[in-house]
Amino acid sequence: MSPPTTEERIRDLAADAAPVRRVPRPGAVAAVAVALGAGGFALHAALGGPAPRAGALDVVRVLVFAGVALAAGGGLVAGLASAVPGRETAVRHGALVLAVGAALAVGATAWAWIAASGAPPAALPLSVALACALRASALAALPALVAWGFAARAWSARPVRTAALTALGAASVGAAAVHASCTATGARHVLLGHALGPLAVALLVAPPVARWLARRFRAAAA
Amino acid sequence: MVAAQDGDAACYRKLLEEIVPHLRGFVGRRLGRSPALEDVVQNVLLSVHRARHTYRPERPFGPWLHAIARNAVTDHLRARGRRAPYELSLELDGVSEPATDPAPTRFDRELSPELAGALASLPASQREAVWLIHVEGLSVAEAATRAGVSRSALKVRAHRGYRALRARLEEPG
Repeated sequence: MSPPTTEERIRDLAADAAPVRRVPRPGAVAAVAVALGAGGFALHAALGGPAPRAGALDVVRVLVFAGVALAAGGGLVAGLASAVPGRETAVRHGALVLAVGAALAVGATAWAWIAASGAPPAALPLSVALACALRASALAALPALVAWGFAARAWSARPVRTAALTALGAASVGAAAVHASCTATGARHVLLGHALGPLAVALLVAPPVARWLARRFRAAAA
Repeated sequence: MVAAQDGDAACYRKLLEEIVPHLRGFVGRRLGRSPALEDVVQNVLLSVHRARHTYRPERPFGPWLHAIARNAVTDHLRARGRRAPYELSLELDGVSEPATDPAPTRFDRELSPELAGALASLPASQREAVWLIHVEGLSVAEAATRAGVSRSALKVRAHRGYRALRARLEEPG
């Protein structure tokens, strides 16, 4: 039996032309993911968890928050656009925003560390940083699930890139929420609990998510 | 495309028929005069069908289609790169050298532009080893004599050349 000709293939595909439900825009999904992260944070605060610290607006704190927020938006947009054909520009721009945000957050933290080196505050136990990292990861869960649900439904031909960028973006949403409400100070705590902790969780979670997205993509292509 | 997404079979068929010549040119520029051209074009059509729910009407159709086509070409090159080096390395991994020195697997002498480019990027010693064995069809012994090295040295060069070729051909488009 010879393989079908292109004309036969076209005929078969046209016969299979059932209506489809379009995926939403990646930017809209990113906004929903961030809103869900903020909503989770608000709910946690309403139930007695830490609330945003509006009074403590020192420069470093604001810069770190701005950096993490940029990383959240950039990572989510880049990761979601990675799951849609033809959105390479959005992926590049989002990844650039992610990188700039991360650099801003780390740079501001490093600046605070250097500035305090003459009179460092008492170092908090690592358990406090771990608690912040876990809280950030929990707050990142909903945005991550929204992003991965979109990616699984869309077209994840680059599953590793999609998983990594969405994981980093979602982790940054959680990190931003924690940073806005954490009462602990000290550059070491901010670096470990608000930045590196969520980053480590994102990097741990990304590979199995990438494998799952790849399996879904292959199954859809079969 | 919007009509196709809404299930209009006639519009969908017309769209697919219109994009086929464009796809043949797009894929042909990347694969050269490859016998797999039509297969890859059909793979693109299949991918378009499966990914049609990802097209947004407010975005241009061209970049969407080209991204799908590029992915199909990359998949084809990866699969081709996985097959050929695997066939070749069985002979040169030193499991045993065939007593009768059978003719090794050959590359098609009409190399595709991608393969020719990848071959040209190899260091001279690796390129020579791959060329002597798999383009000129010499045995390991003959190729080692021509290159003026020992058989084991030639095997190592060829093996490194295959790995580098595979890595080069598997680079995303």
